[in-house]
Amino acid sequence: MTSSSPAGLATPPPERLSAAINPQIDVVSHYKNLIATDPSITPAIAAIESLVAALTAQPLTTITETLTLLSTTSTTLLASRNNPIPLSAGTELLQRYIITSFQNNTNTTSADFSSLRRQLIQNSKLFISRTKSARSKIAQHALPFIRDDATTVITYGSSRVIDAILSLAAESRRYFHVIFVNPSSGQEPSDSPFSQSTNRLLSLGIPVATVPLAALSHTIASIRPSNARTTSSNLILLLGAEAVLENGAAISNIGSRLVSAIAHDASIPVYFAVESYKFTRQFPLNYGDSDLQKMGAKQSVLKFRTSLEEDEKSEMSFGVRAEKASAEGDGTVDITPPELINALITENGTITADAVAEELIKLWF
Amino acid sequence: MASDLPPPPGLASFRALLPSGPVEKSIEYLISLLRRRQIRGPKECALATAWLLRKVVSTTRASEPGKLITRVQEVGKKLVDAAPRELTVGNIVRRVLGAIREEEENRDNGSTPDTTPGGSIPPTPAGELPAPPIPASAMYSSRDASHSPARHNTGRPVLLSQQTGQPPLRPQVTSMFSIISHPTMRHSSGVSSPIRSGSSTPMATSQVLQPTTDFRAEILEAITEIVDELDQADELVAGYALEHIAPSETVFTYSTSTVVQRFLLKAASKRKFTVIQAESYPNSHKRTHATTMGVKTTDDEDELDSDAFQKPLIAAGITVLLIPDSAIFALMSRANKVIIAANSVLSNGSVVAAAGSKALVKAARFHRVPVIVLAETYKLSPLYPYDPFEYVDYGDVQKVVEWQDREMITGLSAVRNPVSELVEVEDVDLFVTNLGGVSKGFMYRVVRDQYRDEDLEL
Repeated sequence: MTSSSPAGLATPPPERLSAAINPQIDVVSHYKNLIATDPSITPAIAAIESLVAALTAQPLTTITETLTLLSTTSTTLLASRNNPIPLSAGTELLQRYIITSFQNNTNTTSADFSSLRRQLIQNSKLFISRTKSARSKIAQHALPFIRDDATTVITYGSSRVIDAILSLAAESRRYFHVIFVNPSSGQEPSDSPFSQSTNRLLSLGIPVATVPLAALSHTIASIRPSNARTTSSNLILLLGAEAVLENGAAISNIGSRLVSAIAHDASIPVYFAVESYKFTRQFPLNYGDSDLQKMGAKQSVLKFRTSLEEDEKSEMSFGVRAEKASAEGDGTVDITPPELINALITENGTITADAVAEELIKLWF
Repeated sequence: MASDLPPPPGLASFRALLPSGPVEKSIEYLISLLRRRQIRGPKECALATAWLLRKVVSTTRASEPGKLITRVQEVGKKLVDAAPRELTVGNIVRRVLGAIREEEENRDNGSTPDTTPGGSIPPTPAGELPAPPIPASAMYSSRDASHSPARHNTGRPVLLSQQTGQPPLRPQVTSMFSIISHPTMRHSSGVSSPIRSGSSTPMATSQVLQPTTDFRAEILEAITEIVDELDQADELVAGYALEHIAPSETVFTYSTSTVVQRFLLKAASKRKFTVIQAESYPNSHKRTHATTMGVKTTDDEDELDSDAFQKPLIAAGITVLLIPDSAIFALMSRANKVIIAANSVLSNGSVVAAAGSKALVKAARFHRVPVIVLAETYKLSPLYPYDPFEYVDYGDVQKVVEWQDREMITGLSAVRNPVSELVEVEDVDLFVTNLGGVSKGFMYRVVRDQYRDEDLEL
């Protein structure tokens, strides 16, 4: 997963310069620190912030140096994660942004690099603060999907965007129902983000149901008849995503594809609420483990065993790893193909999955 | 108008009243006509709106486009509220607003270029992430302009080009172009602008040279263009007929509309094929029968249709099978394609069409018959179908149960006569607009290109 080479400014081979640049700041621990301290931060933003921190810490004098530093630090950062796809969306976006900024300024300010650099870092910070505001904009755009009195929202996994949408809808005094689909059949601990959002909605007077994933099909069959009595019942599936690929496929925590497929089968529209900085220029040829691995994710759900012993070992490590990883926002994911997605709700409005490619082109070129 | 009698309230009476009366009165009159559905149908509503806005623009005393925008918005909102389900009203209002904004920008560019000088880094990222509502095109032009100041006016094609059938490929072409163009080579950008904005470029540059003095004349001209487009659109759509109908095919169609009729006639001029026509009871079966038989309708509602009356398909040597709606599914397996007309196309490609179209489309899907939807560009609406029921329009109940059979109604809890409904984009295969065939996946872009982002919410 290396970044594509910049369009205008050719980067010299990194091995020549990387010796000269030793990142004084450990991006990986900086990233982990950010994720741990700020519960509302997303991996992409944390990655961008880490890179900007690395840029700030390093005394740089040339454009080439800056770009090389960026590309090496982002490679280090991405290599440290089990699932680097959401991060790569952020790091590549920042690199692209900086290259564009340089391209726009090559003629005029090449003499004074330090001021250019200062300006760049300042702008990068502005960039971060703007991307952070995306979530509340998405909530605004998603509001018309939740119609008063007739809507049942099905959601799966804990997503901060979905939280923001549901809270905004509840705060704007809409009355709707929420069904949380729980990946495990057991009770969640009371301090998990999952039950936190349940509690928030309950305190706002929104009826909430929690069903295990295994019971989803049955649940959908159960709600339909009673709701059909109102003239316009409205059942929607609302999911968050960690990344969106070039063909509009969404990468989200594992099970999302299953939930989407069930919803699609029941003619329930599937909406993914996602910030457009999560769009990444990767094109999946299929939607399995090997395709995620091609994008740099260290994940293999499908493992055959030949002995009982082996199974126990891997089972445990998988379970332990999954638990540890999901705490760091690095859990197992799957890809929901674009055919199952009715629309993506982004901060720039509601778009079809087909429009992702164009949005990416707009972001990049 | 030679007759002594004033025309019945409708498009004709509105048109007759328009030149003489004061503008406020015309606005009120159109609102009442729309409310009472004395003007209905996408084309009629679009025409009336365009005529009224032309009058509004010509009578408003405004020294600058900004005032005109608020005035048009104000009138537009009233019209949209009067006929919320006639989406073409809003479309035309947005188009006119777009034309005014175009003028406004031309004026601004004439005095002070609003582009960022090359010296400072634009504070926004390349892709305009947390987009303030700047149209995408403005983004491109502002970035390119730092390399060639003379070009900043060509960022968005002038409205004319869209109406005359110029494919609205601007953003893609710009962006793809910048992949291959090396940044240092951007000075020689004379090459790029013709590719980008086609025929509109010469006009846009000429406006830079002589800053417009009377912006209202330009806007009125743009509105006249819109009206012309409304008149020509179905003919333009029909122009693509030969690309879509092959010899000895069987084409399934539903209800009757001028655009489908023209489309089929155009194909009939060169090819022999079979048409299966479902009658669409109870709302337009009479019209459908009349169109197939070649008899002029005396239906009072359809002034325009009787104007634009076409000779029947049989006269052109086409085999026409007129069938009741109940036979749609049975005969669908024989068809090679389904061609229907849209009342409106929404931003995700969903189609508002005559009630019953969805049943037809679902039958087509079952038999894997491709569905082609004919939609003139003025029917493309930037709204998103949050609620499919919002687009179901209800008509005269008497057409379902006659008034004299009242006792039957009392036995029923409700009698409903839907006139239009929403067909989801999943079941449509291809759109044909005045710009040519558009795949459903690309429809969102074509819809977006019709309007300015600022005007999406009226």
